[in-house]
Amino acid sequence: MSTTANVQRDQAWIDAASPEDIAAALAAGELDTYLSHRQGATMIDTDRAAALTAAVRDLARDLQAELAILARYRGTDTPSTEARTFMDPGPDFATYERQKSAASGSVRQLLASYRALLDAARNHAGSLSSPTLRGELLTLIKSVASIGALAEATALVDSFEEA
Amino acid sequence: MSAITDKAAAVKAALQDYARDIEADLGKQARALTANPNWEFVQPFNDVGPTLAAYQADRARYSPYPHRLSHYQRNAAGARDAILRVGAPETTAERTAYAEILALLDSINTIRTHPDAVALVATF
Repeated sequence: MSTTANVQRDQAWIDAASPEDIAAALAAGELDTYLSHRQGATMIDTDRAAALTAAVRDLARDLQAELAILARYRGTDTPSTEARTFMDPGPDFATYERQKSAASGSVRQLLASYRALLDAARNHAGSLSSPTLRGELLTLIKSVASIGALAEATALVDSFEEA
Repeated sequence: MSAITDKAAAVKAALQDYARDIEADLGKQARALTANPNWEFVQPFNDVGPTLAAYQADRARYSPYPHRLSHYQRNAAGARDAILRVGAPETTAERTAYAEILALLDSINTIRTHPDAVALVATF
């Protein structure tokens, strides 16, 4: 393949070119526009990945908050979404603790709701063109999706604060 | 130990958990991207915009939903009533335990923001 002055190359040309062709095109300035575009795309990717990472971390914080509320909830049904009222804890501390541990709440249902949300986050991650940024975000999403209990959510959220 | 101090120990634990619920709720509100989230459902994962700054600005645009906080604070008074239903504190231990509950109620009523709630919960 020969290079032509004042011609700007695109991805299709690069895919078909040999290393020598690419070196010649670089020397002739034919890849300037292509490289400038790629750099712009990378910068946009970085900004967007940072925003998506923050949003997925916030989602994990929300999940951790809700699992904690469920762990403190004294009932086997779903807690009301209204602001809670103060419920009488019974005659002593041991009774109160028993009430809490007897309630399983609806952890499974809550986890399923959040996992469904992560599909949307995965779709957004797929729009990142950088494989590295995409991979990092998908790893984070996978970590959130693997949460099965409050302790796991707390450990993941704590790791955000340490990072 | 008496029925009142036993009750006060349970009420203290329940009131601390109540404050933790307030903190969790205010935290969710602080992260919400709408002024009045629909609490019936888990919030959707919306598009976050082009940059971290845009996402953070979007989040900061909405202050906590004040009605929920005042509802929590109004209902916290049930803690005081729960003890008084057992009887009036008479001994030094009973009065101390009761005063501790009143102080905790005061602290809950001074919460205005999520960081206030985080700071209170950190003292437990």
